[in-house]
Amino acid sequence: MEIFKIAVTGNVGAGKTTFIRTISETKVVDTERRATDETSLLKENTTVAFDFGRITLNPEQVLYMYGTPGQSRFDFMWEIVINQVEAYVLLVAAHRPEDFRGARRILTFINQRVQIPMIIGLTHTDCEGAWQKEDIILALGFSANKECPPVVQVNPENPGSVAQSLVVLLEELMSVSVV
Amino acid sequence: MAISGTLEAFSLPEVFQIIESGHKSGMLTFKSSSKDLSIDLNGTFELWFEKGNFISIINSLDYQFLINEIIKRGWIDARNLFKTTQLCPTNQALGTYIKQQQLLNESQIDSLFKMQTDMAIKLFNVDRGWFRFEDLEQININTKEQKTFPWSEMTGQKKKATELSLEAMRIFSNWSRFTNEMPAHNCGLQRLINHCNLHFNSLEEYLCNTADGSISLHKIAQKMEVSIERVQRTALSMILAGLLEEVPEVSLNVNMPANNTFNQPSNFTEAKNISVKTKKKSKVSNSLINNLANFLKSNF
Amino acid sequence: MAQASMLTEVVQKFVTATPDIQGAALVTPDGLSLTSVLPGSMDEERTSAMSAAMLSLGERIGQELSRGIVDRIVIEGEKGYSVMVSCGDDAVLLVLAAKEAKQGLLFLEIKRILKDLAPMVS
Repeated sequence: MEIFKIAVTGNVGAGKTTFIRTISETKVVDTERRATDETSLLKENTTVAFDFGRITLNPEQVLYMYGTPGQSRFDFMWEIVINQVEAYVLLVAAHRPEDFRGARRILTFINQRVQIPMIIGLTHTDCEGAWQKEDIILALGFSANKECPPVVQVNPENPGSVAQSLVVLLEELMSVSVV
Repeated sequence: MAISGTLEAFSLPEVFQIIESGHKSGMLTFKSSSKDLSIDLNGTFELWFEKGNFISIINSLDYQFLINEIIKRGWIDARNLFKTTQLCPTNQALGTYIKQQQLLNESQIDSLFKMQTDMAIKLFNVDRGWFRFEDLEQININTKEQKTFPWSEMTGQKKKATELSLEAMRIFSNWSRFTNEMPAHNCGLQRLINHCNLHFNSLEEYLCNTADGSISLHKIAQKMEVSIERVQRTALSMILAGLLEEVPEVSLNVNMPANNTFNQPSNFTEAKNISVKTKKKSKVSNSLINNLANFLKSNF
Repeated sequence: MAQASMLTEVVQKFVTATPDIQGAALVTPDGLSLTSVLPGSMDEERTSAMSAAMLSLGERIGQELSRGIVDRIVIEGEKGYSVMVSCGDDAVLLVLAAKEAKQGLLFLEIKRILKDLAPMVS
C-alpha cells in the first residue's frame, strides 16, 4: 500500500477542518474541543490534536490528509504533523489581516524544519474587507527577493474548489520533483 | 480591495512593511480615532510613498504644510515663495526646485524633511484608528482624475518605509497595545531576509546577526546586559517590520557571538539557515500522483 | 466555576501533600491553563496544550477502537509518569509523578482530587 500524506495548516478559523471534511471519503477523525480563548469569538469548536481525512484511489494507493490546530500553543502538533507529510497547504483567511502575521509565523516554523512543496490557499476572498492576493503575499513575507509558492483561492466548503487546490499542490509537487 | 483596516487589527509597522517590500507608490490615508488628547492628531493624514520610500505627509487641516513651515521659519517671504511655487515644474518636488534656485540650502531641506518624518513617527503611537493604502496606478484606473504625487508638499527627499518604522518604534511608548503580540522570553528569532541596507542600532544589529532560532530572548538580554523588555520590544519591532520571526528556541548548542561583533558590518549574506536548503525530493510515485490528479479532476 | 485562587490552592495542596507527585496542571479542554504547579523548567502554556491534545487523541482512540470511555491516559517513562484525566466536561488534569510512585496508589489519589476539583470547574 502506497500512502501519500499531506498537511493542511493555517490560522484559527482559516477553514482547515472544513477543507478536510469536504473532500474526505470517510467521516473525518477530528479532535475538536469547545473553544474558550479568543477563538470562541470566531467559532464554537477548535482542533486540539489533528484532523484526519482520507481518499482511497485504489487498493494500493491512498491519500491521507492531516489538519493541524491553528493556535501557536499547539506548535508541537505542527511539528509532529509536518514531519510526517510530503507536501502541505497553508490556508489563509483573506479578510482577516490580523491573522497574516500568524500565518507567516507558521510558515517560518515549518521552513525551519522541512523544505517540502507547498501552496497557499486563500479562503474568504469574497468577504468584505478581503485583501488582494498580491498584498497578502507581501504580508506573508514574500517579495521580489523571495520566491512565492503557488497561490490559489479556495472555498473549503466546496468540493470542486478543494479538489482544484489539491491539483495545484500536486502540480507543485511534480515541478519540484522534476528539478 | 485596497490595503485597508483598523489599527487594532493591523499595525502601522506592518503596513509600512508591505509598502516597502511591495515597492509601492501611492497614498496611505490615516485617521486616528484615539480618545487620547495628549496626541495632537486631528484630521486625516495622507502619507505618500514612492517605490517603498516615504516622501511626504499631509494633514487635511493644513494643506500647505511645507509652504507654511518655510514662511513660519522666515526662510523665504510669502510673496517670493508663492512666485517660486508657480514657477516650479509640475513634476518636480518643491524642495528640489527651491534648492536648485538656491533659495534654501541642503541642511534646510533636510530639516524640513525631518519635520515630516517626525510627524509620521508620531502616528505610530496611535492605537485606535483606520487606514487605507491606495496604489497610485490603481487610483488613476479607478477615478477619472489624474492624481499625481503632491509635488508642492515634497522636499525631494525620501526614506525607506522600514527605516522609518524602525525609527518610530525605537521611541515608541504605547507598548500596552502590543501585549498579546510580544514575543515570549524563551522564544528564539529567525531571520526572514537575506540582506538589507537598513541602519540598525547595536541591539537590532545583534538580534539580526544572531537570529537562527538557537538563542532565546532571555539569553540575549543576559548577554547584552539589557532588560528583557527592551529585547522583547526591539524584537517585536523587527518582527512587525518583516525582518525577523519569532520561533520556538531550538538548541543547536551554538556559541553566541561576543559583544564586540556589533560594530562590524552586518553579515547578512552569510545567513546560515534560510533559503539555501534544497527542497526535499518527493518519495511519492508518479503513478499515485497521476491517479490522484485524475480522481480529483473527474470526481469533483 | 470556582475562583482561580481556590483551584490553585487545591492543586498546590495535592502536589505538596501527596508523596511522589511532582507537579500538576488543570487545563481547559482546548489547552489553556487554569492553574498549575509545575517544575520550574516546564512551560505552562506548552504543557497545557500538550495535555489537552493528548487526552483528546486518547479519547478518540478509545472511541474509534471501541475501548469505551477513557479513564486516563498514562505515559510511563524511565523517569516517571504523566497522567491525563478528564475533570468533568470543562477541564483536563495533568499529574506528573516520580518513577517510585505506586501506580495503584497514584490513580487512587488522582481519583480523590478529581472529586474535589470536578465540582469546582463545572
